[in-house]
Amino acid sequence: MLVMQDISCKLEEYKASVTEALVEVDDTDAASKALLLRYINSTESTDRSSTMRIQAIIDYMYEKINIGNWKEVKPYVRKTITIASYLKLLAHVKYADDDKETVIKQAFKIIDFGILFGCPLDKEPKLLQNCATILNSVNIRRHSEKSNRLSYFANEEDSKNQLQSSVINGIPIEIINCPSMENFYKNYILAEKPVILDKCINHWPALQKWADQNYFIKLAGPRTLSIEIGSKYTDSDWTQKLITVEEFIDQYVNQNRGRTGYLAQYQLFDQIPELKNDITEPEYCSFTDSNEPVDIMAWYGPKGTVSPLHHDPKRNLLTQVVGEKKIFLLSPKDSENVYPHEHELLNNTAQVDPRQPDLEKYPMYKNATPYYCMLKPGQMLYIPPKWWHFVESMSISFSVSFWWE
Amino acid sequence: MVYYVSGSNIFGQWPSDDLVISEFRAIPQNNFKSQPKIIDINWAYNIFLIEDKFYLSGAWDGKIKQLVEIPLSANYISSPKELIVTGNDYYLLLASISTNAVMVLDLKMEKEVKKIHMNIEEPEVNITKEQKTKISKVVLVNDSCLYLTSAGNVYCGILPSYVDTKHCNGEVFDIQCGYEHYVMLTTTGTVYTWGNGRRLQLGHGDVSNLDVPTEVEALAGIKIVKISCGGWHSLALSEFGDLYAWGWNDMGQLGISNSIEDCQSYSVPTLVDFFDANGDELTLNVEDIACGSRHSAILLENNTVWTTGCNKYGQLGFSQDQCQSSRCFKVAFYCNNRSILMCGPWTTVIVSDT
Repeated sequence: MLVMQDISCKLEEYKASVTEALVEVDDTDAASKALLLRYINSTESTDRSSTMRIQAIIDYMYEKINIGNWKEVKPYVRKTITIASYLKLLAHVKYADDDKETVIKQAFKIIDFGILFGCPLDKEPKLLQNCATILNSVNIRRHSEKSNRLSYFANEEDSKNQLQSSVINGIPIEIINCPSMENFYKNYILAEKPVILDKCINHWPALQKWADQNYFIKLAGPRTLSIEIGSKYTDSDWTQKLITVEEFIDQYVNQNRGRTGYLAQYQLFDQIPELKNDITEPEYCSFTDSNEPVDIMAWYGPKGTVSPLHHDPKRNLLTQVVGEKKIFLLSPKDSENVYPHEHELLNNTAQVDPRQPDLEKYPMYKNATPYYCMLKPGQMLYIPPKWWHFVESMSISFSVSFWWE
Repeated sequence: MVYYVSGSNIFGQWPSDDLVISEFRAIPQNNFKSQPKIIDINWAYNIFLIEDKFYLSGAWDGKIKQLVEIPLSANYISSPKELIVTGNDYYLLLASISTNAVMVLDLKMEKEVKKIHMNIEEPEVNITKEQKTKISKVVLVNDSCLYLTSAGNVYCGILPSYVDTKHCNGEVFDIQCGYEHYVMLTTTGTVYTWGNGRRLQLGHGDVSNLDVPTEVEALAGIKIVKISCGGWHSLALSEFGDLYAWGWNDMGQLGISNSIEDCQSYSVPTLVDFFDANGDELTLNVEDIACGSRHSAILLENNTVWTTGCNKYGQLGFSQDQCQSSRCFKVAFYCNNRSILMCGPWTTVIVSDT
């Protein structure tokens, strides 16, 4: 176990490469750049005023990332956040005079803000993730060893019957056991046909480990996540919120009162690489037309989270690790039967709710062919590109999606 | 004239050793014979006019707490009175009223002050060939820039391009810029907006972007006498002293709500009511308005200044321990004399008669 002074030294080892990375933020304004340069080179004792000035740069760049569309924010703005967060972290770990636990917790908040709103430096792409790993070596929290394995399974028979009787013209999605690569490629990828792949991930440590919420609290309790509040993203009061892993599990995952909180479409494995050791990228994702890496996203939340009927441009292997999800799929040929929203921001989302389709309002839906399933732990659902999908969690649920082209 | 300032002093732009000034404080005259006049308040520096010379205070040449005379090339400038000076994080923009020429000084290139005149040469653009019309106002905020001429013509961009306002009611007499939206007021009291509407800042009821100045319909029939823009929100003051607000409300900058939880943004101009500490509604008229990046300030007819929104850098005139932000207007200062308001991104300034 390391003491704070060792931590501080280890964190400072990145100073040289961050100094070299300053050229990457050359386009940032002269006043901010001068401060970054001054604080990265200084050996002077970092006083309160320097911490405040670094914070001001972070706050100002945060305003700048709110200008225009998130995807069009210039990289130098986000890289400035990364560098300033690193400097804030150094000063915090070195000079904060709170107790060790508070200092560490606060340090993770600084790191995670930098990861969420900054972006990787070319020179040191894993800078903040590596800093988190260093801090993990002093995670001194004491945990109750009591495991919190949940009896989250919905009454199986009930849910099955309910599902079948409610789906008009519905077709259950085919389930196959660990198909050969050739079979999967020919009959599903090329044919653009959905299928459930069973027993392909039995070797994943995640199947055991993630069923216990305490595992996440132990591994990453003080880490900050950005979650979605509101049962679905089409609701008018839907919003996002920063929250720590521990708070999220206490306030949203382990209880059904109040508003729904959902860690949805989240790059958790980039932020907390330790979790990636619990899963492996399926070989089926290797059928690809591009060199782009596979996008791996986490979906973690309580019972009752809903992704309204929508489609995505990429191929998707939705992998169920914990709990069950009710899923409806519709072919792109059914697009006009599901009534997509007209606004450009929402036109990949349909208005029909396949659970209870309002046939008076959406009469053409009766011509549609919904495929459905109850996805169970250990199963992977292949969703071909552009296929409409609706997903609802029937219990506490953790899924991992693999998106590729 | 006396200036009361509250807000960010991160770059030592105000004569104080505090990094954050969290109560309205009069700025001393220092060693100057006359009171420095505040021309422009930016994030990292201010521009002052002192004894007929322009000064920059704050971040300059890689240092903070600077106070330097802005180096001006004599070739372009006949008299400081003929010059409009403003700036953003990257440039100082100097517009000459007498020649209608615009000069841009790159703040990154000022490593050695002597060399600065080199950078004043480009780009130089003649706004208008007509001798009678002259530049009357320049607004530069973030990357948004508007020029207004005495003939009521509007130009957009640091390299100015003409904005067609022929369809507008009345002649344009004021212009304002947010971080990515533009607001314009005409002599008939009509408000026009255009630019990015993603955070509802255009006031037309949706998130659409607009290329052309478009009348804000919710204000039709209400004669507006003053407009002000924050980063992503706007305020309008009517001839009857009513305040309207619209746009992003993430920090309470619209001052509309009384509840702590409510952070709803408003897509159309909405009448703002004020309540005293006891929760009783005030019926006083609003006399002046000003917006910072994510805060707002107003002056009521009883000479009180009220603020709302983000207070992280003391811009509301309260201590940050007291509140990090406010969701409704609260009284922040009592003026003894006639006053007007100015805001920088994270600063509020009260300009009072002595």
